[in-house]
Amino acid sequence: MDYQKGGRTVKRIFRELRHDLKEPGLNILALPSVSLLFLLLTCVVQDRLGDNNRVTLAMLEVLIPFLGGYASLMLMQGLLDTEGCGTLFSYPRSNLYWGLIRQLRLFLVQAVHTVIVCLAVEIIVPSASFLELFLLTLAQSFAVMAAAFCGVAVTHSVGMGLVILLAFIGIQITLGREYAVFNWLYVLTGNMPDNRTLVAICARSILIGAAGGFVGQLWVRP
Amino acid sequence: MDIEITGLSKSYKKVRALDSVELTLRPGIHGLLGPNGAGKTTLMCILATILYPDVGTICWGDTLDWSKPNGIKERIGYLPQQFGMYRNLTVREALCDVALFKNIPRAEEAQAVARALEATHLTEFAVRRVGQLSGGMLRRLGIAQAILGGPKLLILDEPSVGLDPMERIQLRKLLREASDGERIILLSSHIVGDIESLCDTVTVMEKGHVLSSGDLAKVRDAAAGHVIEEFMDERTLRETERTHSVINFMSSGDGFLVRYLADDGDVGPRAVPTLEDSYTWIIRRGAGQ
Repeated sequence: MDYQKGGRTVKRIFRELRHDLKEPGLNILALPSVSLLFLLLTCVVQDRLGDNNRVTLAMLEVLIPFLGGYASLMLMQGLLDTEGCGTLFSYPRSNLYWGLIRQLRLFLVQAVHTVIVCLAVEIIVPSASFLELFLLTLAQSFAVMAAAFCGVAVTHSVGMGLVILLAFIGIQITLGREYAVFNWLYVLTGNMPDNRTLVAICARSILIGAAGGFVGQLWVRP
Repeated sequence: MDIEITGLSKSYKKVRALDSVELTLRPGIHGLLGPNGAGKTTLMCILATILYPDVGTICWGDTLDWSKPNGIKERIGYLPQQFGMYRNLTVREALCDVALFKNIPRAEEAQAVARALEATHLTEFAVRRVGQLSGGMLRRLGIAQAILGGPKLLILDEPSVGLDPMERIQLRKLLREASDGERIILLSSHIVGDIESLCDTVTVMEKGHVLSSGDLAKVRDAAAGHVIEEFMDERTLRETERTHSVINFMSSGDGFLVRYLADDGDVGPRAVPTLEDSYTWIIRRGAGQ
């Protein structure tokens, strides 16, 4: 086994990831800063409402995946929505790298982000269970990030991608409350989901994520 | 190794951007001239593997062709018409990341980046954020990322846009130094003077067609015998502008020294054509056809 080559590959991947997280600038900082704000507010809300706190878990479902989706949009800005961005396609990297591979790496970052937030929520909110929260939020993030990726890739516009992202989430949490057919990902009761609901949401997330990723990748081109 | 472009065509919906372009690019500096919409940028984007042609082939020597772009991408550097990337990185960070994407070995990266910074006079701005650069500096960064790694094919779309006169002189020096006998440099410009002072060969395009292509001297002589330069008063100048293609005029004493394209039957002192004269002649002849 060529450990040196493997080591160089790992270093290269970390450098590429560092570029992906640094290039969008302050936009990526939205993830930790908004999450921190959310956790601070959770402390206040939990203190006020105690066992009647139905807000935190519902907010977690919507906010954390949205932040992941926002990061997905920002990751693609330099590639698809910047002057001269076509230059990147002249470098010896595949369209698959510029699209899905970078998105999947970002998803891993989102997974770490989700672990931290869900652990903190479990500490703050006694009724929360880390594993179910983490699985739910991660599954939702997968679908939402794929939807954002698809939106920005098809339109080549971060602005339009954001509109699509907000519509994707907004339709589910508004219309989806009245008509279940429009809600594929969210529980929104403020309670921990049961196992059956969790499995169903995970399955739908994987389908939506796979479809969004596939369609988005087709449009990753200059 | 020459690049042979054969039967290249590309359309955007109803617009034919390139129409059966045939061209040979030899080592040296090759200029692309043409009005807006001539197809220069489309041709460059195809050569840079950013776009794919509808029809046609591009081959580089015996072993490389654009139907397998991975082998080409390793050997090219491209500067687009507009360059505004990496605004949140410093200049050095941006070039290091470009080196990463261009698969420049880590051991050679620092030196390659230093060379590119020095060649484009950006060393003192290496720690400045790209978003804080002036237009000229940003253009130089674009050139730096294109030349990083010493690509064998350098494609520069309007490289001197936004550069002040001193920077344009430095760019010409850079390109002349980069033309090492093996490298192919393809550049487009609206500034005919840049093409005339730099290029070994020139291609004139219009509406997706190649109107003329060849050695600089050959293209420059296309208007031989068709350029008149004479002194005239303002009234005659206005009249001449209505009836002829006036290429240039300069104030001289009480009147103007006017340079214009002669029609058949025109009488007047013939001048040795410049590239600008011949470019205008070729375009006018192409439009007449």
